Amino acid sequence: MKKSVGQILGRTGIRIPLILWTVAVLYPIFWMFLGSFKSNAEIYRNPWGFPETWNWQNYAEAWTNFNIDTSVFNSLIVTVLGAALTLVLAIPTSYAIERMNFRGSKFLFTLYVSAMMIPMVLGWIPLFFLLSEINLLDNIYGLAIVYAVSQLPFSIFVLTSFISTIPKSLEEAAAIDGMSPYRILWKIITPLSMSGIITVTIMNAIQFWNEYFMALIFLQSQENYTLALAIDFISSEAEYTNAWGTLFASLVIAIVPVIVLYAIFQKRIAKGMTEGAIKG
Amino acid sequence: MTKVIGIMVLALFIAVALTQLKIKEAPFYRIVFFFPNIMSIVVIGILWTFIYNPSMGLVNSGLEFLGLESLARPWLGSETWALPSLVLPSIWAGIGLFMLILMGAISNISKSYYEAAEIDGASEWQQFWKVTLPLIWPQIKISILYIVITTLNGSFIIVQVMTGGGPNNSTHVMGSYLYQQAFVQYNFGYGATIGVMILILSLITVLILQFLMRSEKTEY
Repeated sequence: MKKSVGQILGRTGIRIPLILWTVAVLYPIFWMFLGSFKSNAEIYRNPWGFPETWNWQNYAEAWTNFNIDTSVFNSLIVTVLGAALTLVLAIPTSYAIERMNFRGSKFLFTLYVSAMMIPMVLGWIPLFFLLSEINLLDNIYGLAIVYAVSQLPFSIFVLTSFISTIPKSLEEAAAIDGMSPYRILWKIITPLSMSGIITVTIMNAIQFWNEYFMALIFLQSQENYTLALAIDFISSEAEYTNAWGTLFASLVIAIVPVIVLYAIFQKRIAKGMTEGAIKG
Repeated sequence: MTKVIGIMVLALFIAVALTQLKIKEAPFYRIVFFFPNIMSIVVIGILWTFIYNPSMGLVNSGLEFLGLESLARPWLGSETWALPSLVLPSIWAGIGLFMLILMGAISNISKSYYEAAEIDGASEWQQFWKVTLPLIWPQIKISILYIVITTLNGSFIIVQVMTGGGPNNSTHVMGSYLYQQAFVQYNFGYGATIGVMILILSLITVLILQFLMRSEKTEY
């Protein structure tokens, strides 16, 4: 088939909006990186260009004077603990729901999945009082537990679909050889559904790292702030302190781990997100 | 509402462009367009607060550059413009996911439909309206529902980060209002009432939307 001039023009025409959108997506992100190397005066004078000198002072400033060091540490604890806890709770549950046909296992699955539909907003007030009752308010470990529970339905949903693809005969053979259900879960199911487990963990970790609102509600003292909260705090202070460069630097600190994860697991993340969305 | 239309049109365009019109660098676009989806909303919010910044923001300096100083204004500081200004960041951040959903749907359409259409002499434009659109309608429906639900339940985060509900309470959505009532002013009962309202409203919206968009499954 020959291509007419019009078709070739059409192809180029299609590209223009695509390129424009690429610029719209990438430019603010680049700008943030550039801004993190500028001094305050330079940000005002020349907000959009390249920095005149590349200085790391903003990072040092953010790290030492603006509590970013403690909040990075807090975010790490919350993320790792939350993700681990989710796995500990979700793997056995999904195995039980998927493979043991006890009374109400179908109902339990529906219950978990429909929990994904309930807006988190509704949970804030009850959770607030619950946490203050058991003395876990303003405590990052309490926050990690809340995070883990909030991502449980999604994790169970994805993991059950992974476990259901494992052939049943493997388990039966293991059972005949005298393995207990727990050992089957540990020695057979977990290794075979590793791919799903990794997907879920990455998704959860990014989610926890980025989460803002529950942290805002459940954490009060500054030394417990997670990264998102610390940045928001710097941002609202920046109007008075003019610490724009520091703000950019802390934004960069927050986003770099996500970029790295995205670069490595791009396919998995995209797949996990679309699966998580379609279920609803 | 603008957000729903904006996201759907753009996402649909990108999805079609990336799957149907064999563009070489399509994977690159896909990776780039999806990226804002996994950025923290706090980061997105603060970034866009800067873009709208009256003295050094991208929007106003861009307008000045084009000689349209009269259009420059303190976007987030004015009561009329603050809410519309919040739409753009949410489109910016939300598009990737729906692009992926639609792309998945399009790539599931069997090639033979297009071949048949081509033999019958349908132009690319006609193919899009008569073949692609009806066949991915279920996914479009799901996406629209999803956008509406997340807007009702989730848009307060960007409101909270970018304007905090101000100026003069003009940008409060229900979620941020709940936060303010319950956790700033400690009216927990009032906050809980808003929460229940949100639940009821989103249920009603879902029902209405499903009623409006029911259409028989198209099969060829």
